[in-house]
Amino acid sequence: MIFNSLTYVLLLSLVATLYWFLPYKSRLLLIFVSSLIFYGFWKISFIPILLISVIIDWWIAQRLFKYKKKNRLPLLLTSLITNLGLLFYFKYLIFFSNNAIGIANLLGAELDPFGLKIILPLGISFYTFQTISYTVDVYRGFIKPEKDFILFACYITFFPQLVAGPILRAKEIIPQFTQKCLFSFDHILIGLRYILFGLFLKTVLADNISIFVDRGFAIDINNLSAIDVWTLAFLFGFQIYFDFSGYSFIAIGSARLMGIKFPKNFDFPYISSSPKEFWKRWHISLSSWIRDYLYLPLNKKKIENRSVDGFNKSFKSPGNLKSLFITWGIMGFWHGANWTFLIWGIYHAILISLNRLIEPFAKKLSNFSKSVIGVLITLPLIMLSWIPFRATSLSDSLDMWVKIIDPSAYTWLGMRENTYLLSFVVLLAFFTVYLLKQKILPLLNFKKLIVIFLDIFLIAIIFLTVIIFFRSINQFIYFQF
Amino acid sequence: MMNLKDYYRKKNNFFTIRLTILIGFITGIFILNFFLEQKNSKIKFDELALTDSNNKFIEIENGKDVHCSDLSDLNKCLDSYKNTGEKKPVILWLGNSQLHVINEQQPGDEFSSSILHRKLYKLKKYALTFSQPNANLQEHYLLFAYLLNKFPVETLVLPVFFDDMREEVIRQNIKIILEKPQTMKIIKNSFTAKNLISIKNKKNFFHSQSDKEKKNFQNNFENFLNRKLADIWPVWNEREYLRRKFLSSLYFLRNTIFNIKPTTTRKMIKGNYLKNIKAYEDILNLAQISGVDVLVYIPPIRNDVKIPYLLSEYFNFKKEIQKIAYKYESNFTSLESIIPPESWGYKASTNLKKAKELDFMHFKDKGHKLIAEALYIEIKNVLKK
Repeated sequence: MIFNSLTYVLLLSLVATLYWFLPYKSRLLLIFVSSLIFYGFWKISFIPILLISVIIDWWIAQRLFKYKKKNRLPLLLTSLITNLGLLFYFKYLIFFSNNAIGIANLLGAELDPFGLKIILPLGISFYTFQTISYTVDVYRGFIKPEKDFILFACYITFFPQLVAGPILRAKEIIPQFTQKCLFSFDHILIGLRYILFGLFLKTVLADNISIFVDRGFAIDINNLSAIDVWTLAFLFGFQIYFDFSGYSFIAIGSARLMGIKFPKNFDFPYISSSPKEFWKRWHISLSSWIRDYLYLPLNKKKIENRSVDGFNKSFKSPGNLKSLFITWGIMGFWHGANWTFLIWGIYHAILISLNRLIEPFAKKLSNFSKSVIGVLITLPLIMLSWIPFRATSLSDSLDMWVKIIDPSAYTWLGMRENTYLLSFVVLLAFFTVYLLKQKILPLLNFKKLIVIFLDIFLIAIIFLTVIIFFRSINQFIYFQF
Repeated sequence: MMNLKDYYRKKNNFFTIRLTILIGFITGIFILNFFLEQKNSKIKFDELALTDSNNKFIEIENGKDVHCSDLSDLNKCLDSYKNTGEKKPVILWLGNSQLHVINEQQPGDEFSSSILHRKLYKLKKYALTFSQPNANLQEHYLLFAYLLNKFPVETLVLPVFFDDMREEVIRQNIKIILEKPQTMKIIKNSFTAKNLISIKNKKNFFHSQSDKEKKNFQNNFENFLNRKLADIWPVWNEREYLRRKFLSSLYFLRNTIFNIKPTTTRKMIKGNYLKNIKAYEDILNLAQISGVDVLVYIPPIRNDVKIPYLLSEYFNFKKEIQKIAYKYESNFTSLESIIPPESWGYKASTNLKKAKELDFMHFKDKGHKLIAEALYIEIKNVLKK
């Protein structure tokens, strides 16, 4: 079931209410069962696939802890092969087999496509990464395995984060499940605020922006000007930000209704003054995962083991460039089985590499200049990266990118005026909200009446717009990853 | 929001946070109810730019429905035609709101579609009109192809509005034609049909459920909950109205901030223009193949004030329309100047300033008589050929 549905509101209300009245053990059972109901609402046949992953990693982790060092590697490999094998089968088999057939046909073979019909189980990329992180952490000796199967299953299947993250670490969540959390209105009120804000981002902003984005990307590229390409890149950049951060806020809020605290997954990413900073602010739990389970091991560096701070490391060794591109290539493919996602990943690897080259020169600038110039350069570059993410093919992405370096494509406009206006308003609103939140409100020194008035006003506006626009028409973009 | 949370925590003022959320929710509900109390069920959000000064309805001529909009009311026109018991050749007139709106309407005023029908009926022809606000040529193409299977169309009368060359959206009651196999059979190889199908597929890229998905258990359950909630809380059922009201308020706000009026120059949108030109060619091509005569005309426009287009663009547009019409051996005429200034009117404001605005698209009753007369003469000439 999707978050922007009445079904989810009903399920969450029932679970969050029952939860506080139940004894500790029953609470875990409630979470586990409700998570299966939540997941099964899409397709009941997805549940066994999820449970296979859960059972195998729970069992292997117990053995990993008991076995001697030399016997542990085969176990770890079993877990990795099972999890990644399932992911490969469901997500990548069609893609790679079609490409293999395409290459064979280029070489003269006359093969027909296999006609495979494989339905991608929702959230498989997310829960696979979560189970892998658990098993690897046990292998590394960072955590002890969880003996209680239900508790472990709750960590993997906990419905607020099951389908699109945040990708959580066992050491952050399992301890919260092991203690009986005491009821506090704090949990409910903070949870409700997060959920309301998340629904606002999704149903009011993302879903309405998507109308313009869909229309724009449906236009024949020959009829798009360079300004149109920029506008669409910015609009889609904001759509995906509102969509995914909206999801994350609802996930954080839903968990908080049961007293479980998730780390934040987004932190004003478009305010970043460098690509490296962007990856400390965008989808933080994924970039932190990539850092700890792929990038740092590839560079043989010390692991951080926490789902915060994002992709914050840079090393100057020559081999590092290779690992950087491998990491980002995988990061791209993680998002989807399409060459467009690989291009997206490589593009970010290039941005980070350039960032490293420029960094020494940037140090000579004052902090203010560095921030302003950094944002002015980083923001458009990041927005351009969304083009392959949204375009339907590699050639479309390249054609759109080519447009922006063609001076003659800047002389006309190819879309309705409202599209440009919306793009400008959203951009302006984003920076205004950031300045208000970070700079202006603190200056008010939290004058009580102003804060209360603003709070009531904001809640009323957000609440009424959410009620008006609440429709379960659009899935969250990240559900398909 | 988080700063506020920190504030509440710091000050240990937890009572306030509960109260503000509660007051916020109540205020939100109060505002929703306030908007609902102001509800004007007569507002047609699709035709917001027409404003209340323009009356619009579908014309009934002598008990017959001879003017419809799209597939939503097609059956009325179809039944009226069948009820005549004769199979008169149909003169099909497609257009936009100019056809179904009378500016500053008075009792007894008549629509051009009705007048034309009466006149042509005497010639044993059956004039039938279909019009939708801001209809673009891609919509006309789909509708024309669909209607060819429903009526014995002899002549197509097609006004080509420069204004509508900016449009690209295909409304739902036209879009469903893309799912009609009989129609798709004759248009599937056209540029317009291929393009619309590809757009439809591209739009499904990230979301939008398929028909199969719409019928699943989750959706059925969701619909059930929606119905139940609407029973308990009537506001839930009115959200479509509130949504449209909210968006129309943004439209008025935009017009006020940027001083957008009917006189504001509207530039051509290259992509949409080209798609509509292709659709125009597809219409003429289909008509030619189907043996349907076509009368293309440049519709009347108010010329006592500066028109809201770039003159060079408008001039080129007219030239191109004429050239293509002749390419497909269609008849072409320009009715740009047949409506005198006094037959054009004003409409209510489309911004928050409330001042009346010039109407470039819709004329008064006399204008309808004039255009019906002009078209009658042109159609007679076409029929003579």
